[in-house]
Amino acid sequence: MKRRMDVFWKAVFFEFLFIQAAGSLTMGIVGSIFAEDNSISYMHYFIPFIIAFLCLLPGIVQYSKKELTIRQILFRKFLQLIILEIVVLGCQNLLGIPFGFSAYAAIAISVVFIYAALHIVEWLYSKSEADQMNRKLEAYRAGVESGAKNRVK
Amino acid sequence: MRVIKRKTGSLEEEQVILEYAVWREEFERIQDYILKKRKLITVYKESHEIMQMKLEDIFYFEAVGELVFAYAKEQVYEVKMRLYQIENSLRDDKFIRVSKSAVINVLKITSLRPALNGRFCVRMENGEDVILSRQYAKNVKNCIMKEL
Repeated sequence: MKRRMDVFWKAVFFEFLFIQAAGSLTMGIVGSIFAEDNSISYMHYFIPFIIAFLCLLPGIVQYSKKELTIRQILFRKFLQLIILEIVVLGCQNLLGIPFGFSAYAAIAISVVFIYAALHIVEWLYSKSEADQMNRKLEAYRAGVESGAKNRVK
Repeated sequence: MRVIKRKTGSLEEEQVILEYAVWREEFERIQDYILKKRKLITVYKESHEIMQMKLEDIFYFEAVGELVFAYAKEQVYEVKMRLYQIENSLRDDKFIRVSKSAVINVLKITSLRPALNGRFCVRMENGEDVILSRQYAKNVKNCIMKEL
């Protein structure tokens, strides 16, 4: 149980850092394009942390006591993305900077990009883990087969 | 070390005799391997007929509602055990929990590939795919990397 909680918190912490970093980058890019003349205070540096924390909360829609099917996971992912869009666009009011429609559209698109990027990074990490295990399984099988051949000889 | 093979008259007479000067780790491993080979499990056919099955022929166990099934290469049998009992009693035989509803034989894994949500898709030697949940992935990885 403890080990399973470790895995959970590790994943949450990774997602928090990733969203926080990507959020800062997005704020910088969108701000420099759409609100170039506005200045921000030191307090605004906390916004990526707040956004990252708030973005973790919709992850609760992925929770289930039973194993979810692929279709159920995809539906919940879509739902999570919608909630994320609402949360992030709502958070823009924290900046206190009036944005136009195009800025909101850019933010909405960047949420999709960050969401996709996070999944790609997670998939690549899982892929490297799977490859590691596959190599080990292959080596084990090769060992068993060569042992069997030796026994036949 | 010599290997002597002698044909017996029946299956009951089959045995392996280990002759040693000093009992070493390799003998221990051979002994473990032989003992595992003879491990049997009681399973039930569809017709409620009871039979003994070699543990090494089982690919995975799956819980469906209140029932637990053992999947062999082509056949499926019912097992009168809870999944947690299987998990606990067969841990040393390389059977490991991969999700809330499945325990697999690690020695029957062909390959793994990433699936959605930090899960993995485990391809078994009989061609079936079993889902490995994120929360059990670390245990399975440890088992494969350290115990094989």
